[in-house]
Amino acid sequence: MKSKHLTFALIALLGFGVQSCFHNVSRVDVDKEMDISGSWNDVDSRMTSDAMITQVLEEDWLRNHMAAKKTQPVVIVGAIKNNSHEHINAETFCKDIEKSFIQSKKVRLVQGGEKREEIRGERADQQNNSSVSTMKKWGLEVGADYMLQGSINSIVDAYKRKKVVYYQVDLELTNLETNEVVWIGDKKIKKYVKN
Amino acid sequence: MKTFKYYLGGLGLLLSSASIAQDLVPDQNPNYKVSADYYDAKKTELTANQGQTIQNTYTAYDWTTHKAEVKQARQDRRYEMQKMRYSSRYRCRYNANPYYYGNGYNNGYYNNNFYNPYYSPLWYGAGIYSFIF
Repeated sequence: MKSKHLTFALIALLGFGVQSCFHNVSRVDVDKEMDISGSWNDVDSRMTSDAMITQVLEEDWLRNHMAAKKTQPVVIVGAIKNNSHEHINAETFCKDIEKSFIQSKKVRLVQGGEKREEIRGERADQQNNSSVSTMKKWGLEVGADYMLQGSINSIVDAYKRKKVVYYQVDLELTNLETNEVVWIGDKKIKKYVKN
Repeated sequence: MKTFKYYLGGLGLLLSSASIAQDLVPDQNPNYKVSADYYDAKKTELTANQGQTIQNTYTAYDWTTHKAEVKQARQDRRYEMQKMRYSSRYRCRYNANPYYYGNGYNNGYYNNNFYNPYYSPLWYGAGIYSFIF
């Protein structure tokens, strides 16, 4: 009887051990390059944001604007169109770029899209509910000088178990008053995947 | 009288412009009322999600999940096929369903038990019908 219990306990222990071998989770450094399927991943997003930040903050459009207006340009982020074959969230690298604008203090940023709508909704609510001294006024928003827009494109070349995937991310800044494109930045990534 | 009316109109215009100028702070957009009215109508809807997390998720490709889905679809299909086979087991048998004759329908003349295109009294007469057909 005793040996029976012991056997059962051993089997349970062994089962638990095997189970724990199958499923394992660990935290890794976010900068560590890890490619598993070959699809767009965090490494590609980081490479894109690094390249774009360098280009947008170093190129001539910024110096030209500062020389002409004597103040930092104000940028609003428009839509990024994903024309690739994968689900890619452009917000991961766009946020890095926006953050670099604010941290470098070279470019000012204004809110757009759904977030701006929510802010205006809150301002409208304040007109009836907040005290006069704290109520925010209409018509005093900062108007953007440039809009940042972009696209993600991809080309896939596959045969049997081999695949070459090419991504091209383009971002461009357009002057809102003159409609002139003042800057285009890009990041090209090519991957070879063998299954 | 007419001149007086003009003076009155001019005065009204001056007063109204003066009142607008009083409302506006420096650099304020004079058309702000348009936006204010627009957002005043939408403010409840726009502030409804404050303090909440909007779940705008997507289903990422997962190999194990995909494999499990394919397996489930295969099992479901097999079950449906089995069910269909079981339900039609007796339908195609003559002993169980006397109305079934070959093609699955009975038009009352050709596909019935009484019609036989090879029937001939000669075969019956010779006593060899059952051997041939």
